[in-house]
Amino acid sequence: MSLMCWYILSLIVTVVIEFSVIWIFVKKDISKLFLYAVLINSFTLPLATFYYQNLINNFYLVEALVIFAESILIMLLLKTKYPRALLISFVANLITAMISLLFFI
Amino acid sequence: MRNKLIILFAFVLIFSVFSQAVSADIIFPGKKYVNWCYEISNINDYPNYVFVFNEKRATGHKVISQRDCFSFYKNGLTSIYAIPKEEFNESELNREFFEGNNPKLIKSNIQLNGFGLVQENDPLQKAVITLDIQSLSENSFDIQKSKVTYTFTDGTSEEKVFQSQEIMPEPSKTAILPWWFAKFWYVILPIVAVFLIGIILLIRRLKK
Repeated sequence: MSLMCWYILSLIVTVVIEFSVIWIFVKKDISKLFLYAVLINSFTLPLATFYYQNLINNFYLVEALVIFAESILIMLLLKTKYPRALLISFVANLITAMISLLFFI
Repeated sequence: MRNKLIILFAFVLIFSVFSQAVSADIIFPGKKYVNWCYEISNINDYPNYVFVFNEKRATGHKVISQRDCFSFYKNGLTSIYAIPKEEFNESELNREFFEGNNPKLIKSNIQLNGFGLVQENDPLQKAVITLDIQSLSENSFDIQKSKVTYTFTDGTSEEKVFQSQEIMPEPSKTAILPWWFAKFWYVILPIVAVFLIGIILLIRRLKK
């Protein structure tokens, strides 16, 4: 499989997992939640790969930055309180980070 | 008169649109230039000679000193010469000086080339090619490419030794993605995503 396919696949896998986690926490309007998951991850995943490959060669630090960035976006898009947004972001990214470590890195 | 104006306008339009194509320095889409230069490592071992490079098409000639890293017109034909110090007069250096069989010039065995273009997302930033003078006498001048030092955009660098004079050693870091996909992945996708998030938030605020 080409590297481009791996990048696209990683985005799809991340979107599906993070959408599932958000949906467990916020059980409303499934299509909107999916759109939010697509937009949030289309913003953070490319930047995270760029930072990891070129600037910060530390997986855990990059993940921490992603959790922080996504928690703000979740708070704004889902109109939820920040601690809850941070919890959603942490759980979602914990799962995707473990999958990344197992399959992509 | 009107037709002439239309032709003139069309001419300007075409050449402004395709200005890259009429330039000698065409950069193809998705490609970038790398800073490159040559240096000679052991000029100080030959204190009785002055070293000069000459590029016939555009750059012309220049005296090379120990610390110089010199480059020239990338499509030029560049040669290196040694001139015995007692016969060297900088004011004599001109185009004619390098033409014909000038007895003052000792031409080296090497012809230098410019460095090619690389992918726009290639991490390579600079290439310094080091030349070593192997031998120099009144009628022969042997110079060899010994190594190339690559510097990358992340600030790291590496040295690669020439195994063959004709083949440039490859840098170990190269672009891992096609340039168009890299542009889409690293630039377009996050910008579009954050733009749409902004639109959603704006619409929500306006609905209130």
